[in-house]
Amino acid sequence: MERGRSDPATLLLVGAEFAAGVVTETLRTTRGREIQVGVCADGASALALLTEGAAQGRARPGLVLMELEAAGPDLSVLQELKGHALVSCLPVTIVLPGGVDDDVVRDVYRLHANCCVRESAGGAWTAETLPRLLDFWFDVATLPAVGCVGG
Amino acid sequence: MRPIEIMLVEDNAGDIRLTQEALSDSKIRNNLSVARDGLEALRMLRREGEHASVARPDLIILDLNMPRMDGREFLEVMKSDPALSTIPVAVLTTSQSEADVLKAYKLHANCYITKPLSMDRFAEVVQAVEDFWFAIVTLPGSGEPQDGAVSNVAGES
Repeated sequence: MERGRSDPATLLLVGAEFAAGVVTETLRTTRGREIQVGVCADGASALALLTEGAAQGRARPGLVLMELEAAGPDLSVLQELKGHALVSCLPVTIVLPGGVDDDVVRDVYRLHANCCVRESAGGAWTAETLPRLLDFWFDVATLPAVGCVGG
Repeated sequence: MRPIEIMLVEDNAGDIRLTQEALSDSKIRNNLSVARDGLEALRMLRREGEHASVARPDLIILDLNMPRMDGREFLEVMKSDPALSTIPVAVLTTSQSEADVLKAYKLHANCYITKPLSMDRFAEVVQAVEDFWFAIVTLPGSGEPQDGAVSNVAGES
């Protein structure tokens, strides 16, 4: 089956800061691109939303942006997400707080996060880093079709 | 600062040349090593035989359709090897098949990119991949498990 390129850009933000709306509004209209944004305050609720949604055949987001804290103290949320047959294909970007240890970064990759980005203080994070991140995922990369599960 | 190390796993001579040209124009200092199929890539990553001095890549750019061991088989082996699994893999392929996209992500490809047909656009895409992975992303670095078969092949940090 050839891919359609008409899938809307859909993004699930996971974490307390995202839930507080710090960057959510900015991301909805980044660089003129309209993005359908969902928000979960913590990893457990995101995991439930994604796995139950997939089991019921609901469309899932094209990309997950998850704060490290929401991935669980032992990264168990990330591990479960990436080990789940119905949602393991979802690209997950982990947002790291400043100063996080290199061992944690390696653990995140070992558990198959698709990539990590380090949050920085100041306006560059929302004005530059996040838009470039979304440019890559939504304009350069090919994402699994939003309605596609299983396999 | 050391140059970044990129491994291209690709059997098509034209695409190898285009990638080399795109990366040679890069603002980021880089070294490119090339494997012609998945088997050769694994031997290079494990520094077997004549590949003893090959640097551990910071990023692998992987074609899917290759002889001997294709990109899917390579992903399956490499991403289940604790000594190699943290190395990011960007799939770069002509395939637009939804099955290939889904399978690649399920096999833990870090991203999937469809090769553009035009040479100019190809160079743009290669540069976008490099910019994303080396200017935006935080990479895992070279630290690897110390008890793995290739634990001593990690490059410098």
